[in-house]
Amino acid sequence: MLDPFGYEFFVNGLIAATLAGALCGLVGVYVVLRHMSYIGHGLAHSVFGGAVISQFVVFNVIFAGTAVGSIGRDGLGETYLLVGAITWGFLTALAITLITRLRIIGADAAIGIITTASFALGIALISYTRSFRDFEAQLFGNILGVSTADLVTILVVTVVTWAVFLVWYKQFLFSAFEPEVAGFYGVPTWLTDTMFSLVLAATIVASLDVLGVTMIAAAIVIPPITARLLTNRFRTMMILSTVTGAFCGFGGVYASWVLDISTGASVVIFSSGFFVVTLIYTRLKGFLAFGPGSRSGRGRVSQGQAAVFD
Amino acid sequence: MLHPFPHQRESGQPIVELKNVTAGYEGQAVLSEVNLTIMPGDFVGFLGPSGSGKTTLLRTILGATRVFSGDAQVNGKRVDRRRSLAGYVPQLETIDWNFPVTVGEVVMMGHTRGNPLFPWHRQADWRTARATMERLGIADLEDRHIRQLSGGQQQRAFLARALVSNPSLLLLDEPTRGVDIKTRDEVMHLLHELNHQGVAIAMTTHEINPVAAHLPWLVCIKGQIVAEGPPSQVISPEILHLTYGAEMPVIEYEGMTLVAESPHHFGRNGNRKASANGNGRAAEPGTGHGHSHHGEAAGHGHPVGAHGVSGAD
Repeated sequence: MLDPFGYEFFVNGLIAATLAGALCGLVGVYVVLRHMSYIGHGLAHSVFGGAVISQFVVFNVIFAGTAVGSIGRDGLGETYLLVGAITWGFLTALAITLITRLRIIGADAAIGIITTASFALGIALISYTRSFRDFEAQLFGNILGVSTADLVTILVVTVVTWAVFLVWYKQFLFSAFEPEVAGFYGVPTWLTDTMFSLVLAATIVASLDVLGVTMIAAAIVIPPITARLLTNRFRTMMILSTVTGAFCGFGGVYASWVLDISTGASVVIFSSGFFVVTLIYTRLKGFLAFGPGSRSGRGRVSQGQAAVFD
Repeated sequence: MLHPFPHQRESGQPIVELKNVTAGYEGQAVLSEVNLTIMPGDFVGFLGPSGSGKTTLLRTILGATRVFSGDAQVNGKRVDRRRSLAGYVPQLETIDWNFPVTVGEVVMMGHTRGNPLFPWHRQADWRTARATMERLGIADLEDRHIRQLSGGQQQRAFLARALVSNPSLLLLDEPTRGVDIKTRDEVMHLLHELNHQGVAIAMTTHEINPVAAHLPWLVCIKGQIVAEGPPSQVISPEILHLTYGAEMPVIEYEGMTLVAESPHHFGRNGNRKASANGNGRAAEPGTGHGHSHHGEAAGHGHPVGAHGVSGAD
């Protein structure tokens, strides 16, 4: 077998997947604890629609017939595309939060309607113009297409996200735990929700090229769930989830090279496997520590920890 | 058993002052024309059935409802959710017990308001948190996950969070709902103890015999304030009928005021020397004899208007 590390595109892809995995793992902690696991899946679809729409606007409306229109990926158009996709994802996330908070319809229904409509709009535009770069890569993820510009984007989003979560740590913790009571204790819940929507949209846009629309939900949900099995502390869970995400991103992409399979699928299968191994490990440890049929709530491995899925 | 002590209302500036307050949520008033004063050192229970507005009253004091008319003030300032100075303890039933937080992390949430832009807590904050946990007897549980606590310890953890910022008023939403009898007793003793230490407390409850009858001061609510006063005066068939819309005989038994919350027999139990509380909700001794109520218990209350309550019909 060829040494994959000799290829720049592979190294780029590996770094991108590791960073994207870590990013999704960190952001996913909040998503999972707020019982919004489905939002990642929905937003990825929504952002895809947003990307198509901004590409359409950028190349066919703003720069129609000009030189910029033909610059291509690493040019000015790319920046517009990114900003457009992030804005679109942010607005969608915000709309979902707002509709849920006002209790017009449930969060699940809101996600279902808004994001699917947005995705459909994107598909409609593609079928109309019959041109969209890396259509398949966007859906299923592809590391071959990771450019240096993509790497920089992921890096910037990672740094900004870490900064936001660090500065606003207490507020995020409280509003994830008790969204309403947090408001009574001086947490600006509206601001917190808005910041989170922004961070989530940016995360999804940055990870889209590597993981793909259809696979991104798993990258957001699996690392936090795995981390939850191992700890009872919010802070530790954030760190463990980030590390797990990075590990699964790295391992998944490497496996995709070895087995010659789709990157996004490989990352998801790899992390699912890692989750199952962790689950068996914690169960086994609980079994050994407390004996069969132990229902004790004490110890590091308790009934409560695994019940995080409900 | 809890022993209510003669309650003396302190003078000075009131902590809570509601004047003709009509409040509720978007487009829907739940409470109308409410007048209420809570003084330092008070221990007040808001009594009423589900949907009566007792929780809305609590939220109005927190500044979390819409005040349509009237004036709602806490510590001389108009209520505002963003600078609410009251410590709030939510219903334990609403807590996500699978959430990964330890007792220490929960208690430190009470310090969120101070220095919002630093992820780290100040040393002084940690000191007050440890002192509060010490005071409530949960200092050694700091690193425990919230699920690994008894019902009483869970309530203490959330009480500690409410108390770390040293609020002048403690607000509790149904602190005895969904807990067993032992925990309820523990919680109520703890609240009385805190009240003796000078913390003003307002709590909601729908339980008359086990909780409300032991509080120094009751406010009966049904969309508006029906009556307020000490239990010996407020707990009367007349006022209970206005509050709950049901016949509830009141029994005086060895100095205790007991309410037969459900005096009617369900089904065909007429001949049996059956319990008056057919559904077994009133767990106090002495209620289960099916006696008719003593007439002297009635008519001492202060219905509508007698306590400076105006606007009610």
